Amino acid sequence: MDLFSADEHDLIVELMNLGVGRAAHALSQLVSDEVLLSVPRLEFISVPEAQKAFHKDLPPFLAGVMQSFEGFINGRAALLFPEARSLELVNAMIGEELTADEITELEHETLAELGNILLNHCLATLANQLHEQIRTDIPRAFSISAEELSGTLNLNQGNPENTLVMLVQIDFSLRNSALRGYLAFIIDLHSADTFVSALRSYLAELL
Amino acid sequence: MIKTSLSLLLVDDSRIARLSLKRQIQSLALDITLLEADSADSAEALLASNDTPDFALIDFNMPGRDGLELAERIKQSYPQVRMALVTANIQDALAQRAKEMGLAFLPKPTTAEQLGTFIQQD
Repeated sequence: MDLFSADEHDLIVELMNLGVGRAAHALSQLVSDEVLLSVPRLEFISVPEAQKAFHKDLPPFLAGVMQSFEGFINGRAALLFPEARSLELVNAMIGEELTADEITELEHETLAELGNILLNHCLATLANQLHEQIRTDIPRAFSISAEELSGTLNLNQGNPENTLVMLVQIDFSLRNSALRGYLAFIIDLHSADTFVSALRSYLAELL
Repeated sequence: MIKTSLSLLLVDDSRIARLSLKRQIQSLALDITLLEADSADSAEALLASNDTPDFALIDFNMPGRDGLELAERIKQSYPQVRMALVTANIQDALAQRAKEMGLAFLPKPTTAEQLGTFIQQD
């Protein structure tokens, strides 16, 4: 999809880098550990392509958090982890002397707050840099199979041909555990016009 | 002057967020009584039935009324409460609105130092 020019694509990567950098700083404070994040890999794909990518790249069972947003861009953002790893994250965040039962009980709430912080840092940085505003909804945590993800993200809501998926993939690593996490941003094509014009005015000031 | 005993109202819909804020506040070794609420409504109920706290840490994104709507009400009814908006939503526009209302703006995750500075500044 040639919705964005090469410069615009580059700018989005750069802004996501900034956002993810902020998120990494936040995550490292939360888990009291050094966090290494890979450079985000950015893809713009259609709904069927996104479904294929989820199927190919994601582990069969996922723990995640979803947050809707609206403003100069509208859509849903999700933070996804292999389910087997999410308890390690919870442990790293609130760990200490908790029993396995207590950790399981707190898993969803911890993920929701983690997602809230990471997704908001990305979205808010994007909005701040582009001098735009965005409203984020209450985060919702879930545990699902990879097949259920399209439904959970409302990927087929409305006409799939009108939905552009901006998929951002990031690898996380902590000192004590290797975690692979994914960030996915589903952006409605209807709202991409304002996104494109925000990117253009940013570039116009820059170039 | 810091009073011998302080009280702080914590408003966040996330139990985890309250847990981490609580842990950080407790690490400050100050004599602080905590009141906890998970929504703007329950915060107002707590305020009506307790001594007015010295401080309030308020989340922005909550089901029902958001943190700034609650802050506006607190400002009207309990103007002596010093408030901070504690949020992962680090947008400049939101920080600006908080500042205009006289609130401190603390990005999540907070650190114990930031909370200590907020509590002890006068």
